[in-house]
Amino acid sequence: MSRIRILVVDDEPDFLKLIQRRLGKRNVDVSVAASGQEALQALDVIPVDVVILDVRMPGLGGIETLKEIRKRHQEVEVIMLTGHGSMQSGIEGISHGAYDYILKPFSIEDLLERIRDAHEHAVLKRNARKVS
Amino acid sequence: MNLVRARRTVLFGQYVYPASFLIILVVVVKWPLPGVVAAFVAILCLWGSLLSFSRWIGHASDERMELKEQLIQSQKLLALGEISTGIAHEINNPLNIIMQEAELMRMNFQQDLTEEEVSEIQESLDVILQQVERCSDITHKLLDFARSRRPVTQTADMNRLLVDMLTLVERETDAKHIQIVKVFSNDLPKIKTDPPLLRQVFLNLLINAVQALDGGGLIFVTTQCNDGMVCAEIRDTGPGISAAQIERVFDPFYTTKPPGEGTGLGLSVSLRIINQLGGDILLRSEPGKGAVFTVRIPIER
Repeated sequence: MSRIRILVVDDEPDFLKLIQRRLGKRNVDVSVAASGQEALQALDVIPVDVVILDVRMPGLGGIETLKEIRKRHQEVEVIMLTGHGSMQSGIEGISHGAYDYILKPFSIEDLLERIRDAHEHAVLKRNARKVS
Repeated sequence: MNLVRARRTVLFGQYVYPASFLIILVVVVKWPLPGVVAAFVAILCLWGSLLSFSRWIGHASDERMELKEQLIQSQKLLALGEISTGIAHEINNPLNIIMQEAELMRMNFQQDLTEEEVSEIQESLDVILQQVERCSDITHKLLDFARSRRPVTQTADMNRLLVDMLTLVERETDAKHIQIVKVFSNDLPKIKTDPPLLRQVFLNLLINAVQALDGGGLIFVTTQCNDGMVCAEIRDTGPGISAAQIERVFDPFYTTKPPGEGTGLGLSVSLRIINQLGGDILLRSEPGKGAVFTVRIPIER
């Protein structure tokens, strides 16, 4: 199986470092971005299957970033990172076409499973487009 | 009317045909030679009339097709009219606010600005930005509606999808004293479906149920499997939906919510998604007795 390429977007550097270390060991290529703008720039340059997107960020917020990603990179799937205080953003995320959401704090296994499903969906979508 | 004429003739022929047969039989037995001739003539007559009947029936069915087409056309126009009114209404409200704020700003700019006026202008700008966002939300949803995303199917567990969406609305249900009762089937088969689209539908239905229960109440979420379909039922104990409303709730832009709170696209988008996934949504409701939405999805797709 090919390695899954993900982009994690969060304004907390410690979280980014941690997740990069933990997922790196699990057959996942992890790139990181510290803000919505940075994420959009990164998506223009590096190939990514799944974006893990924090809903609460200064600057370009999570939902705005999601909308931009859906507009510019339709083949990418997005998983929203939601806190107990930001359920509304999770709801908005799903209705704006995010693949899934995950509630903080989460277990790495749970996240990995959702990433795998999202990756499968992204690949199927790409193949369907190639055929048609 | 060709159809009426044809039907009358067929009815008439039902009795005439056996009767004429009997008469011919009697005539042939009594006077063989003229009888045979008469029989031939009768057969020719019958054949001729059958021919013209079938022609009438042909015309009649053509007419029917035409009428059907006209009906479909007028229904299409009606739907288009309703949709246009809906869009106009949804966009007009924010436009009106934007106009008012712009006029207010212009008035403020006519004199030298005091500090108070500067802050008022700032407020106006905030409101305008908000309303523009509201408009762009509407156009986004419309675009989404028009550009039906082609479903991509993968294996999914419906119970799990529902649990995830229930977690999202839990905060609101807790605040509104709404209790959720889950009755999940343990041996629900996994389905081949498009998970993000299905999540959207469940979320829509759950949010509707929560909004229907303003003064608190119960939401029953049930899953089961029958005849190759996996079903999720979302039942609330809210005020229910009248028979006249049931006919319209799936129409785009039909909403019972106050302006600005719902675009009236939720249910029509949901139905469309479920249809694309090969399933359907059933609605049962009576005023005062709550509403039951049942989503049915085929196991294999």
